[in-house]
Amino acid sequence: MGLFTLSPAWAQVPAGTADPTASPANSVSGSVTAGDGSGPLPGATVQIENTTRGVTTDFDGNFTLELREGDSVLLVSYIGFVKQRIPVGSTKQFSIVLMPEQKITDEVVVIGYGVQKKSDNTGSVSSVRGDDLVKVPNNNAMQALQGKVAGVQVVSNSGTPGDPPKVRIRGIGSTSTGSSTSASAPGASAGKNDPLYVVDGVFMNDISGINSQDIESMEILKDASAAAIFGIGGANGVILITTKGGTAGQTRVTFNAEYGLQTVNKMIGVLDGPGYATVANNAGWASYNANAVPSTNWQDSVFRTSAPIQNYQLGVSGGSKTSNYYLGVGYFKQDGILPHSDYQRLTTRFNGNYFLGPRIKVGHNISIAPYSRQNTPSSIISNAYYASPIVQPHCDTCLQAFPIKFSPELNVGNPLATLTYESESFNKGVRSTSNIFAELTLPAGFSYRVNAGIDMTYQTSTVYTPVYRVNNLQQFPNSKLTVGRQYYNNLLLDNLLYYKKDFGPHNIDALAGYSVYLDYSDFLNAAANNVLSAPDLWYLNSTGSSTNIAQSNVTNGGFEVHRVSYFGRASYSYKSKYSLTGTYRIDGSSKFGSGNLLGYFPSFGANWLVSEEDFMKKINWINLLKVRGSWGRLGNDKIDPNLQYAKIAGNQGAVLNGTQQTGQTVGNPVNKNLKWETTEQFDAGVEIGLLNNRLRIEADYYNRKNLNMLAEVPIPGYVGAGGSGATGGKIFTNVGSIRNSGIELAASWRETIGKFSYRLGGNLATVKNTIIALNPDLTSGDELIGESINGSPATINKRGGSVGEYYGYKVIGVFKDQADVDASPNTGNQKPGELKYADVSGNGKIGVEDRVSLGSPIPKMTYGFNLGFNFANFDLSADFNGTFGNKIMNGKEIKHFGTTNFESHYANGWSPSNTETSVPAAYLSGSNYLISDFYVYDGSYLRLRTLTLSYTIPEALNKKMNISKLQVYLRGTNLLTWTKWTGYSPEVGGSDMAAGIDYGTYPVTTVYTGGINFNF
Amino acid sequence: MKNIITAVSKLKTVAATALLIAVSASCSKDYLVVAPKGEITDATFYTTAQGATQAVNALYGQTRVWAFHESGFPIYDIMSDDAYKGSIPGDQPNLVLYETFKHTPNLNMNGDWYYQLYKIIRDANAVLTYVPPISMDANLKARILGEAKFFRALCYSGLVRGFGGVPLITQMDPPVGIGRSSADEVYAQIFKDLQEAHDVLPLAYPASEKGRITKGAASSLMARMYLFKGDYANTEKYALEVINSNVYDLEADFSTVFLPAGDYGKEAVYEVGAVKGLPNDYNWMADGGSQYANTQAIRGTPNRGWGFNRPSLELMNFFGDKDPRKNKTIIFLGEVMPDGITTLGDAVTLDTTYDANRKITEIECYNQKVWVPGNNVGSAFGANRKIIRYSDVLLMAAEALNKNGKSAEALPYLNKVRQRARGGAGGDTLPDITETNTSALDDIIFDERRRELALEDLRYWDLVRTGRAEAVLGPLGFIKGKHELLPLPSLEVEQSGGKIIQNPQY
Repeated sequence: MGLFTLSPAWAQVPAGTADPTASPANSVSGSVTAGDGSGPLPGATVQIENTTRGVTTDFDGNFTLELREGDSVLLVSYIGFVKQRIPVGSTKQFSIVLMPEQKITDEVVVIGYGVQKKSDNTGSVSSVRGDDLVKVPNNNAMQALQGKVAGVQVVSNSGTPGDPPKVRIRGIGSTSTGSSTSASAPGASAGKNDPLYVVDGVFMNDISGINSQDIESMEILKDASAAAIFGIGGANGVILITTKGGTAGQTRVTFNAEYGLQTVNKMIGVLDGPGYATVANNAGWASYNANAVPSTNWQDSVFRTSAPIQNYQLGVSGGSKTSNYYLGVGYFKQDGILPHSDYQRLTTRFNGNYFLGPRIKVGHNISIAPYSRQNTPSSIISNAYYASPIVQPHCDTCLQAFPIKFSPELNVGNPLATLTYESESFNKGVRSTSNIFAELTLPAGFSYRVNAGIDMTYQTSTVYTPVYRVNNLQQFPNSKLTVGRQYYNNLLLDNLLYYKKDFGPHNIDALAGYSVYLDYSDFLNAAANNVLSAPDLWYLNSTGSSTNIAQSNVTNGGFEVHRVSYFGRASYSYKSKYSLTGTYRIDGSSKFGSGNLLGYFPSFGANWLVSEEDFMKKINWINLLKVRGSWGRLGNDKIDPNLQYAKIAGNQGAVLNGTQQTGQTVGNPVNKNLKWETTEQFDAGVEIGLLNNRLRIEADYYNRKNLNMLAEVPIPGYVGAGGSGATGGKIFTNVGSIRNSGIELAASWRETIGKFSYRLGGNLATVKNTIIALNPDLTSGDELIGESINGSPATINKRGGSVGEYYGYKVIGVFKDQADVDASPNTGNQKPGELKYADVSGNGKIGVEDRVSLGSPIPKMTYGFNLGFNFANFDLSADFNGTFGNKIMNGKEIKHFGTTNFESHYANGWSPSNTETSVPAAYLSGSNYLISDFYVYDGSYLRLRTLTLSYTIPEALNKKMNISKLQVYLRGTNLLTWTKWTGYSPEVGGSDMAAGIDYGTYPVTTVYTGGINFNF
Repeated sequence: MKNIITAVSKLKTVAATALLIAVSASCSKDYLVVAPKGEITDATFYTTAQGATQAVNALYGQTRVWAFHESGFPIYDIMSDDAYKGSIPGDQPNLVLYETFKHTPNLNMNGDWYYQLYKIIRDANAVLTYVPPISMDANLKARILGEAKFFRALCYSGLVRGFGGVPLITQMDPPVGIGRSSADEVYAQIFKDLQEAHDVLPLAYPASEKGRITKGAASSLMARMYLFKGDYANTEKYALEVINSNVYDLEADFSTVFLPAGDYGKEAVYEVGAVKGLPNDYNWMADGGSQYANTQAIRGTPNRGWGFNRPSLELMNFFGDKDPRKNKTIIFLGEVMPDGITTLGDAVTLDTTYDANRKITEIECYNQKVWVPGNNVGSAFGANRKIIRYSDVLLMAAEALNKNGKSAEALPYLNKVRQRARGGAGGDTLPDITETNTSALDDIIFDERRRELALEDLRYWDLVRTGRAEAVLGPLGFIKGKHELLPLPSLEVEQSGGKIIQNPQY
């Protein structure tokens, strides 16, 4: 699947079997069904060619027609479907299948607050059908988009059950990590570069409560013309989701079941016990007997060999002249590949439309999704990587360890003990995304719609840590229970006035709207000590004494965000050949300084459907040629609420005469004049359909500038914002401007040869990310430090460079011996076996002036392609995706600490007897841990995302079994990955300031799935 | 059908009403101004005497933050010849780089300290900016401003000794692009603030307020900083002022001052208070604890802390066998502490470490000056760190008087410290000093300071200010012209775009 979901025009007209008893001798009969699988077509016209005689099909799509002498051909037609011409011959019984029309001028796309003919749409919009969103085992539809849509990058942040992926449309617009309101319920916070999700009109920060099976279609609005109507949140693109509805006269039942097993098919190469002992001895900080040390593979010990993932869904839809409905029930469960972690979710959906008369319609989309999850500490993944291999998981002689005799691990703690003792962490919650609406048709082409929506989450959390002890460093002397309650809702009210009128060839389509939004969040957390270990007692009431609940263990807070928007859009088209669209939106948000509350966002777009011109119609191999262009501005307020207020920070009591007295004062510095971040975007595109639309191509050039980008940036230590370690303080402010530009290309081809058909599709997108300005009030230089590791900048933002590019030393080798150190530029503190850095400045020594850009984590290109083959009832499809030109930094290896384990390449590390090597000695500290390209890898990859084999039972059997479709399939997800990266997965994720830095990313699993789809 | 028509007309009314309500609601910009929930802002906080008191209390709270204590480990004792890094090799291996003078600007220890000092300076500037306009009791206001000035001076005194001339910030929310002031400018601000604090602060507080900054604390800090600058006249002046105030005296026993019995006592001129007997709830900071002692407390058995800053073999040898302060400064393995618990230490490092020639290089032991009784890790958060002790004031007076040519007047102060130290022992145990040769007496006082004030963050500065650092610390890696100062945090230099220049040779 690519951008296009069309199938070639073809009709299957099997030779009918005459049944003389069925109808009079001079009549024919039959049925008309839709070729897109939507069932019988009631109301289709069956006409005799060259006459005015004909009938329409009945409620079940059946017809009977009297024939006269000379009648030889039937014309079968239905709006939106390709007309068929069927010779009668001696056949009396027909089974006619009409295929949907693929004429571009009749295609409709969903746009903000409405639908539009695709020919009139001036924006860059990619459409994805719901069917394509369920092809990857997941709880979040965005997972299925990976590699599918040009310009949309989907990265699995983690394999943690229930965690949403990171989605980026057309690059990174900001250096900030965005809103991360702690202690809030899911849905309350959004990453600064996350797109806006609009589900049936409800604005959302993520869609983890939406069942992919309930989605009818998804539209990705990429450019300003398409997204500007959502001004307030459209800066990072908009993902519009329409959930399923019912069709009059057809009751359809679908049932889907899927079961899969997840495995980790790649482990990180680290040293085993003897290998570790050897490098430690070689580096001189230990003297182990390498032949006698234990050897523990911590990664094998923490991961499960396989973990199930399952998904079941039942959908019922139908309707009458006055109403239609869709009911969906789904159950999803994913067990984590770490023990003691899972996510399960029940989704229920009830969508309905009611026609209360010719002029009024009301409806609702109601989704209620209870969920629960168990969480293991995410540190387990990195701890298993770091833990010393010469420590055995258990020991019989650990006198102090209880209740289980785990061996002490002195660096990160025994990962198995952490997994065992720290995993009693549970969330239970319910998320609802619902709206109700009414539409009123007014005279003179006007109509009015009012829509009220809510996205709400209520979540409880229970974390229990028992009394345990491994050793002094890893122990918990008093049991602790922490319980929490989090509530979040986002309410919206839309008032929309539409005007649509055709004046001959002139078509006008306009909209004026007014919306009010209210975000509300509230949390309460409390903790108590000395609670018994039985889960039934994990309530504060069980603590026995109120003295076990310290006042400092109770936190309660929340926030409110208010927004108001006025917007309008006007489209004009002439004969569907020339179209112009203009939008304007004014947004107010309470997240900004009182003088900067409002933002103003205009956009313009135009297109020309060249293929509708007379001179083009002669060229019959070109079916579609459309060129379009747009310009516009959008806003972004995805930052934490209340950043513009200087808040009083508590917990700083003075201890006078042994007693604490309240102390509090103003917290970190803030920018009281925060203002809107604005995205300005230009887009030019072309859409082409060739060879009867079997080959479809869409190409875009885009240039997107983020002005006054909002980001959290480091400020000088002397400002007094505190900070821990070597990092210093930070402030949230308008930082500067960034440009993303590139091209997007998508193409698809499909062809049918008899019973065999095949399809090919591909897309690619390039991004060139450039920082064009930095706010001079923030930096006295031309650069802004991003992420720091070990007290040194690991990523840097330089004017002219790209966001978050890696920064450090170039490695040219390893010091062979002291003579080599003495003869080479060095830091003044280096010794043999340490990395030898390039003296870029040429001043004869190594210092900060020798650091250079070490590449960017932003891929120069992302791409995906798919192949599909269909023969008779078998279908085989493969989806690939990948990135090119990005770098990954091995953050976990740079952050080496204590006597943690080393990666496998240290087996070839420097030692006095192995001086000709590119790997340094396994020292515990020193210059090896400066940021350098020793830790930077080519992050390009190509992944076989899915491979699916399906079998659909022959239609002849369907009738016998009284079903309309039965399909079974086997699918492998993430089966193969080609990459030079040594970590679990080249999809590293991370905040944009620390993008591609792998500090211990959760593995992306390979999943083997089997499933079945029934349609009744 | 009629029902439907009715429904439609009703709905029309509802829709029109909704539209109207929405439009009218929005007409007010008030809807877009939303106050933070559950959080006080600066606009309302600094308006009452209570707010002013809490704001100055926050300064005391910030000195309980671990990084305030010379990064928490603390690095200056480890860099001196009095202590080693301690703990186990894998715990904070970067600390070894300080011990061996290989530390670099990117390490977090100097950064921790630097950032925390400026954090407190910001909080002091908040008091000095927001409290003056508050309508409140004039005496209380003056005292609060005096306390804030003391803390600002205290932090600049750490910065100027540690890093030299640093950016001098006396306002809230300074802009970026500020460069370094000269050390003299920083000193001038320190003495100005301390003098102003001195002039308004009381000599003592009522019992419930014990631990607040006194006039004596301001004078003593002035004496310490004048001594560091080599201004012996002013050192003498302010040290004698403290002595002659007759507010302070030495505890009878050397140990007492470090035990809870010495908290808020007659020898404690300036101390950081901490709440005693905290449970093991990992909430120690919020509950009023101070981690300074936990970091250095016995590691292993009994398990009270991390065991950093282990007293060095050189320090043990320097005490000799006779000075009773040796056993009151160092916890040796096997020692039974006043709570009856035998010290066994950690099970990882060797009790005694030898070199290739079987010569002892290190003996496992711990800093007794941070020891507090208690039966869990939380209890180690209950130590009041005495930052300025009266015996230090006496020795400062003695040193300055001797330098100022008043050697005979110096002797009583020196001998007062020695007399208390010998604890009633007679004979050749720490006999009274009679030397009046300025140079010889200076050496004697200098050595007395090492024994009296060991592991109290003063030895390194004494070596630096007296020019002895190269001779004593050179064998450990000290480079003259470099290691008198720490490197500024690397990010502070890099973010400045060239405005802040790193210290020499880093």
